[in-house]
Amino acid sequence: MSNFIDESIPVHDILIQDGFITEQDLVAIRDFSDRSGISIIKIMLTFGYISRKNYEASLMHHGYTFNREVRHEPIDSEVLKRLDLKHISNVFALPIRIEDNKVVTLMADPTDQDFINFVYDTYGLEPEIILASDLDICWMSHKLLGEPYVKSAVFELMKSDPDASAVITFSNNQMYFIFGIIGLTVALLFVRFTITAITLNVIVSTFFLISIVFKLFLALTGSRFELHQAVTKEEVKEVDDDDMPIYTIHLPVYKEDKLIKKLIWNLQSLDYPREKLDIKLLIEEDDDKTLNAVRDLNFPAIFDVVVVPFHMPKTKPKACNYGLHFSRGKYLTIYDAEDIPDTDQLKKVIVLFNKLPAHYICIQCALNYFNRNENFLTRMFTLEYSYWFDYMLPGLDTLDIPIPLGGTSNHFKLDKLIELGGWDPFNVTEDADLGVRAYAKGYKVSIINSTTYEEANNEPFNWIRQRSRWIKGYMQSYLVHMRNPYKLYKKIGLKGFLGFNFFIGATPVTFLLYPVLLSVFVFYVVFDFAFIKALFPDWVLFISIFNLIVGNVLMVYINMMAVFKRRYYELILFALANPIYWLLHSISAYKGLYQLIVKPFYWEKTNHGLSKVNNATTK
Amino acid sequence: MNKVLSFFLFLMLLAGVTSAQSIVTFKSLGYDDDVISGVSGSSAYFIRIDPSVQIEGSKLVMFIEPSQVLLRAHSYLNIMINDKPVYSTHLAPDSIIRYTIKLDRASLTEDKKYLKVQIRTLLNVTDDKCKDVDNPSMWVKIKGTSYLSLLKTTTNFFNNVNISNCFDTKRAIIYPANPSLIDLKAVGWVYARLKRTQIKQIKVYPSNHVPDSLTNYVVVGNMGSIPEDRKQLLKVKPQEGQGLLYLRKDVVMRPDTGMREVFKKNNDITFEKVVSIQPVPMEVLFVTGYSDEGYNNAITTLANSNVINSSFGDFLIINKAENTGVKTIDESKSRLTLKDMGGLTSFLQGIGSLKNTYSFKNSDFAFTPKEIEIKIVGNYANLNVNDRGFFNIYLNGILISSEKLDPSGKLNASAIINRYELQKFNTLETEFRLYPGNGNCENSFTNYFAEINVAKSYLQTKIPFIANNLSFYQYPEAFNTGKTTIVLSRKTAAATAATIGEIIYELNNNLHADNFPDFVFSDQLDKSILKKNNIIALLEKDDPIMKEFPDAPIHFERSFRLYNNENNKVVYELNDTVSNGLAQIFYGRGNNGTLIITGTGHKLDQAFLSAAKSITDQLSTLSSNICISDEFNKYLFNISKDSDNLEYTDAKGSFAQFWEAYNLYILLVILVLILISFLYVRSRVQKSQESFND
Repeated sequence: MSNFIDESIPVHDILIQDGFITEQDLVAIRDFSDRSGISIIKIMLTFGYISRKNYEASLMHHGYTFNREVRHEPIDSEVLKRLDLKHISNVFALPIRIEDNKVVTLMADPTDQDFINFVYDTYGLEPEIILASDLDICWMSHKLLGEPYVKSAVFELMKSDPDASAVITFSNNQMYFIFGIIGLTVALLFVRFTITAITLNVIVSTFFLISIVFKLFLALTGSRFELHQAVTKEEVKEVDDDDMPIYTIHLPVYKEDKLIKKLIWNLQSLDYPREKLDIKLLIEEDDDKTLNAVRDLNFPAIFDVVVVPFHMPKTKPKACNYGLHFSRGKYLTIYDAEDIPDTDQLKKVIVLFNKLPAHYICIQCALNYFNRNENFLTRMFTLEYSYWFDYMLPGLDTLDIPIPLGGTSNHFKLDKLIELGGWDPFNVTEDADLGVRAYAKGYKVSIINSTTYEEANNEPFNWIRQRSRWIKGYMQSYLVHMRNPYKLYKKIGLKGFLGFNFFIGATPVTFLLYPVLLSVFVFYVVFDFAFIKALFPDWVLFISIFNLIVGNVLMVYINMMAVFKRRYYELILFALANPIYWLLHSISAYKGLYQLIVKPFYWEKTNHGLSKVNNATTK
Repeated sequence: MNKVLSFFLFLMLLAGVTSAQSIVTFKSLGYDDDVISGVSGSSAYFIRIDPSVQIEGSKLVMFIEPSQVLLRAHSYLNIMINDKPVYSTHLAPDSIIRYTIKLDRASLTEDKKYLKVQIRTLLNVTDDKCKDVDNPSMWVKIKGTSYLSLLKTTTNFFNNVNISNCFDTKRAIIYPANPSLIDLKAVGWVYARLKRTQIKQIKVYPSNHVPDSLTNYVVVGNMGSIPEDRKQLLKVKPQEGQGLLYLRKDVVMRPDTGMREVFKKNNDITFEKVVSIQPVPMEVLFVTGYSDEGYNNAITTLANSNVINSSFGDFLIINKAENTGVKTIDESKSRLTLKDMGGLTSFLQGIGSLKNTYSFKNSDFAFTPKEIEIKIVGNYANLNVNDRGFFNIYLNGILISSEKLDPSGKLNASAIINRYELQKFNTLETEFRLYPGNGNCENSFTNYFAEINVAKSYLQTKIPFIANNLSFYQYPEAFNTGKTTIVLSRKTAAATAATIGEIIYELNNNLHADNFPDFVFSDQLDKSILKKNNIIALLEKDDPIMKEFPDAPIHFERSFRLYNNENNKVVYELNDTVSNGLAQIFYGRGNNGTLIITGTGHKLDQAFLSAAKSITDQLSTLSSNICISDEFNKYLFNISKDSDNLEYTDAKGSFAQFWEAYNLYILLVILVLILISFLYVRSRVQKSQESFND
């Protein structure tokens, strides 16, 4: 295990020699390192000074050899006990065992005298340095030292606020209630079929009627107000870079190797001072694909890799919670792998946070799709999102009803986020759940005139996977918050309570019922079964017909208006295809329900990067 | 002394018995109280006299009730028999007047078959005829209780009876116990022929269930299937290929029931039954043949009125028979003259209303008419300048045309009957209304006269009534065009004998009488026929052929319920144990008329027959296509295949029964399943939870 180390010339000087960094860079790096406590090597590699490929090539050129098999090195847990992950993650070095009276230490910069001194100080022994890639060191540090943090990420909310955690899918009372209702209904159907069926019919029709009226009301209210708080270009220009706080960006990814390059490239163009960015690429422990993609990046990039150690449930909120431990920012946002945020988004958010009262703790950016005209699904998706952001959210906002947050591009005040307990790792729509929890604590969400372009799902099975997770998450959130309806009512008031029920609660129910009612209608029209007629007394029939005709037409109309507002005229006629699109929702709803019972915390992964459209500037 | 008295009493009784008569009231002949009104009027009766009647010694008793305000001295009643006056009188002051007229051979019509009785009146209420015209109190009523007292022949029973007229007295048909298609066809044609003679009750018996009391009946069956004892009655035997109609006449001593008039004190008459052992004529008509071919020839001959009407002997051997050439009227069957309709040229005279009545059926035309053009041609007395004359046409009692008569004296009136005015059976009345302009009725009374030319006056239709769905309104005309096939289920064929008769009668109960349907058993049916020919199917409810009628409004082979439109209540539910006849009419796949009749219950023969009879009634205003009937009632429905009023209760079939028996157990099982799913969900929830609680 003899490693070549030329102690006479520090690694950064080798890099200067090879022309990868300049003396000025080094001065700036040292300065930044002194201020932040981050090691020079980490700053060089994660703040865009040099690419890993160049770094390794340069060292190898000077006789260094990287050990690629460090993951298989024996580990001594006694040695690890003296280490703190937060420190280790800033230095790209890791002592792993004591051997031959030397501390075997993995280091990305073998000439980092500060860390060599740290080893002497800590263990009283000389280090035996093994040169390893920073990514391997990072992977090992988190795997070996990350357990307390990952436990905290999983159980923090469950311990601090068990009532808000979705670890319990159905409370006992909820199960008694649901199964009691099912049993009673079945028994009544056997005993008094017609009257029970009519009653069910009335309940369902009324539910649909209220739901339709509610959505219409929301849309009408929403249409009268501009949704977002406008931050003008001038205001952004006036921002002084020196006053900017550190901004954390979480990029939770899983097997997104194909998208990494694009993602990092997109983030490079963010208009924000480099040193103030704290970009965390959250990679799962078993996700070598993504890690290798990062390794292969051939340009200097600004992001830090955080490897999330394995722990169930393997969900995005767990990864984000884990990332929170290593986040340095005042503000935090999350982007998905395929996201393309507006370049001035971060500055706009800061300007808006400064303008808004203190109890606004989250700002949601509008989402839109860069591949909306790719196929039927992407068109429908765009229609839906336009309607969602232009009518529903403003409606909810105006009526002061909790806004279910979108999965990405929501910017938080980090301290408030931690105060709320972070995300619920057991909830598969952690964002919607967080929206309700924030609302319950009196915090507000605002919406800003900055758009993040996403990739609309263009593949049906992938779409169903994604949608089934969303609907499952809605069910989870609903069940969590309705464990004690009275308490919820007390917390969020009548408006919030009704809004929550008809927005979060009604959505899955509507989709579950939609195919049933549609079949009844089709059977009635096609086969003209007399018994169906018997179940629809005239007045129920009127409500049902109203729901069917007016409900459908209104929903289609509002969709049309939404795309009209955004001037996507080519999509207007696609609004007519909504009934088919809703059927896809129903399939997803049933899948979601099944998973809710069988594997409630399973994160149904959406595959990204399927779109063949690359033009990120589509608008 | 006592012995002498007893002897005389015996002789009197014998005399009473020998004078036992059969009493036929007008009412039993279908003539209820008949009113003759107006200044002058008349009423006529045609009464068929069967050959066993001895007309000498028979008598006609008329009861006539005059209006009590008539001037009796100036009111006259004339009774004419066979167009000859037999009795004229002033009206007597009684409330009901009894006239008895003795009959003799001269009383009968030329063919000796009918007695034509005519009553003509000339009535006055005041001295001024002009005031009398249209005075509603000018009437006399001929009571339905008027009767014929007919003597039965005691000797020379059969002088008059031969094949041509023997059908008038037959009351029953006997067919082989296990009838073949030809036997049923024979029953059908005999039945139709008997029914045409206006016999009300025709009984049909299989040969093993014949009551002993029968004395006058028809036996059908080919030589092979006629029982030996009956066969011996045949004096003539058919040879190979020959058909035979044979009328066997015997006199047997039998207890016979007669009626005797009994006069009561207040001049009322009652009748009492008299039973005695008497020589009774026994007539049996055999319709047979050496083989099927000969038998068929005999049946074909039976269908040919021209041949039958001219068969004056006791047997008829048929070598070859055809039923072509029987068509006597306009081939297109679109025009009916009043003469075709049975109208006679009658000379009308008087003032006021002078009416003639004619009747016709829709089925007299080749198709159900949509519109009928009426053309009436006639002459009437020239009207003076101020005289008023009108000619009115009434259909079924409703005035459909009225025109003023001009002085020319030539009548050439026309009118149109539309589909809504038309019924299945119709009465057409023509009326001259003539009034003198000068008010001098005395002189003008005899000046007015009119006569309709029945040969030149006609009804004509060119446009058939076409509806998307066939209804009983169009039965039997819908079967008059093209060939008709009668399909029978083998199992129920014997029970349908009388029904076949009804149907053949109906198919031919028109002026043309030219519908000769084929017969086939359902299991031998070439299914293409179901599209080609008109189909009359008399089927067992479960006959597999029932499934071959996709256009049938109701699938009779299934259990069904009919609902009332208004309140959704069940109005009929098929029940296999109750004897019901079910009939439905619709267009088949080839737009061919299709009639299906089936029956339920034990009295299948009655069920079938009641359905067949019910659908022939006057149903014009009802566009019904489904008939459900039993012995006493009938229900008519208009149902389409996908009608909401129709529900099949066997849709669930055995499942429904299973459901009814076990639904509570099923509920229990489902509740247990719900409990199990509850436990499962709870275990899953706890499991997912526990993995994080550690």
